[in-house]
Amino acid sequence: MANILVLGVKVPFTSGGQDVLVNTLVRELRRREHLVDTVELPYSSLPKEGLLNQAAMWRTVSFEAFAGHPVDLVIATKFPSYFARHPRKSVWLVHQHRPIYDLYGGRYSDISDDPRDEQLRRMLMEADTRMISECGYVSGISQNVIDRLKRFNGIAGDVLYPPLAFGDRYRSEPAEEYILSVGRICSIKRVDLMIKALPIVHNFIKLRIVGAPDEPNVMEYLKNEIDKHHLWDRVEFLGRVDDNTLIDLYSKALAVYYAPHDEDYGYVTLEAMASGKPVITATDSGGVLEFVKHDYNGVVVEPTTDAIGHATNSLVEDRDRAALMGARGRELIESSGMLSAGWDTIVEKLLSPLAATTRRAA
Amino acid sequence: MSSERLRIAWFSSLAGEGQEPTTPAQYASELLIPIVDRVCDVELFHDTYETYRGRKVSPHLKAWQLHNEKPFDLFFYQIEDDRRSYFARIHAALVPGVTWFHHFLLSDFGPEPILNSAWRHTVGLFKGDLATWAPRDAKHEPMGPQAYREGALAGCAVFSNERDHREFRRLARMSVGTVHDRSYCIPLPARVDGVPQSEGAPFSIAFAGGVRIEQRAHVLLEALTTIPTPPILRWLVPARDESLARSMLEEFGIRNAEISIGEGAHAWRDVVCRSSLAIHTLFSVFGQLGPYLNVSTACGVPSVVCNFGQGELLPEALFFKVSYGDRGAAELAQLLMELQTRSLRELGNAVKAYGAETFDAEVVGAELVSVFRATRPRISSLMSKWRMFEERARRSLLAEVSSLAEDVVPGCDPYEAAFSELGWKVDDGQDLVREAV
Repeated sequence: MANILVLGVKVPFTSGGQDVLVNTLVRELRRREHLVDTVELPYSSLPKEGLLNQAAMWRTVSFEAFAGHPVDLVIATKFPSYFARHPRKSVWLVHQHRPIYDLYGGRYSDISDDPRDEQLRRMLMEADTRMISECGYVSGISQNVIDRLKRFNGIAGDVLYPPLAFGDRYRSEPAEEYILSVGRICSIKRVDLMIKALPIVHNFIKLRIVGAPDEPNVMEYLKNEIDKHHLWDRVEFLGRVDDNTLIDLYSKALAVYYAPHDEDYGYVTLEAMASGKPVITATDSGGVLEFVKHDYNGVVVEPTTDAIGHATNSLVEDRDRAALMGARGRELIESSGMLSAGWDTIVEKLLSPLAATTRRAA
Repeated sequence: MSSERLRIAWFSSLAGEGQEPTTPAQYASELLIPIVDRVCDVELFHDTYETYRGRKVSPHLKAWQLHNEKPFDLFFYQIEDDRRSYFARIHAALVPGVTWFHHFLLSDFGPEPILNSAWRHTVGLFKGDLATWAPRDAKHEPMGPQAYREGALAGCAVFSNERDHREFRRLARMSVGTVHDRSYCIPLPARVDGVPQSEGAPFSIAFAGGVRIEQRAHVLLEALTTIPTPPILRWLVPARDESLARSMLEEFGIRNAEISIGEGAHAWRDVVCRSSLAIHTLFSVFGQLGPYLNVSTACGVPSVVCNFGQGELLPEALFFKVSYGDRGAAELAQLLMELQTRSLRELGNAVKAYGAETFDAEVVGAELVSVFRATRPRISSLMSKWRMFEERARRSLLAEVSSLAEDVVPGCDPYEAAFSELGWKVDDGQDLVREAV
């Protein structure tokens, strides 16, 4: 059995898929009788110049031993945790700092054409390539993440889809009259598109939003949109909820809206499918589209309020079709083993640098 | 002429796999890359594609890495008024090179990174006119729809139409080099193997303007309604405009019309080669007449243009010109009635000869390579200076970062060792100091 540190990146006051991934990985490693703990250093993407310090912070900390326990392996997850120095390092990449890569040049990146910003981008890109190349095993949470790594950093890796956090606790109940949205409330998740679509959606349909804001002014913006369209009775912000409440909300939703811009993976997609609910998503939602096919287990439309509104209505007006899509989604999840199985393979692969060391020692 | 093979980093919008080019840059790239590639080593960069017509394409974000590994002689950008060229617009101001403007007036201010661009500061600092970097939170208003930013950072500015070239020379003042001894006009290319319709074919006109008002379809249709025997109208319309185009034909009562659905120079070529006359009556400060006009000319089909902007500068002997404004429809109708009864064969031959001399892709490609070779020494010197400027930017960034670290542990940089290991210290090995810029 090994002493393992899972390296997480914590944005204080927020939570999201990253936290679920780290917590479930730790749980599964402990089930397999490893001595495991999480190390999370605080992270902020602002100011952007500070990203170099944040990466250097990880590089500066020694991960060799704690409290008399030598650390056999570290498993990095997200930028900049893979900057950690350790002779045996794996990465299960959630994502890199996307504003310098695929988001660069768009509204979700704060990297300007100032030569200082260009130097920042180059320095981080070069360092990412070096640091991830140090890993004895490289993997990512979705094909989307691995494709980006290959394209921008020239590094190949395996796709290890994270199994769902709640295993077989997901269930499906008769649909009530609401669309569910789950996730961090920030611009890239595009909850605003669903809010702005509501005026053309049948007015007995509500939108229930689980998640907390992690971007300045985003709630003010969304509330302005609600005021503008008089949606006070139709939009409900639930904040963070406990596991049972979340499972219950999924189980009774008519559909789940999840249409972020070029998502890395999208736990929400799979949770919706596990709950037997169709997914409303967009043509540019990235990792979500690895699981959702239009008119099969969800609707995939252009990322516009009109398209999303009409797609939602199509599910509202044809409940049999919505139920069929949901059932197909559930079937896909069950056959994939992502409800609970899959962890053996994931753990085996992430721990493979240990086996390499053992073989060398022998 | 030197036979040295220059290594060119080529940034341009490109037509997708199995798709026809629909923008000037896409079309120019399709025709010119094979020609330029015979005498230069062209490496393509794009923000999406990984291959183009069987060639490898690298992500534009990696250009600097490839440049470090094996330096390019110059970076070449094609700028146009289209979102697909955004990445070229961004990069054109990150590494100065040869910039070919297909449009100098741009109808939007561009992608996020350049919306609040401090390019004037950057140019001023580079030239030594300013002493400090732009404050991080400063607001920078754009100067206007002109591509001043891309023009200022161009080591050599090329224009594919003379109107834009003249506007640039009239308006552009800021530059990383010397402004006016570094600009050229090279037209968009066209294939010259088109065969115009045979003598004796019924008189017909080809029109590629969409339904937007500046293309002046309404003027053409109004003119046609006043002609006793109107010619056949062959109208190339993008799919998105088809229904509006048909509505317009209905509204004006035009019966003798064929709508072809498509866009781009290749689609236009198919239409114009079956026609007696081409109508290019764009009336706008945005956009340009090429490549459609260039294709018409290369195919030997005489053209009618507006006596405005680019049209004004075309040779009077080879192009028919009509007024914009209230008299436009009447003048166009008068002209069409006159031409219906004339043979255009001789004029067509002269137009084709002009097209071959001016727009032939081989000629344009040779001109482009000639500009690359002629400007190479200047660009090389500029890139060396720019490399030093980049180092200065890096030092300034590291000074900012160092001061952030000192906020945490005053008087000490806790991350110095990590920075050193990661290669983030300045090249001259100096300790990080707060740079007085």
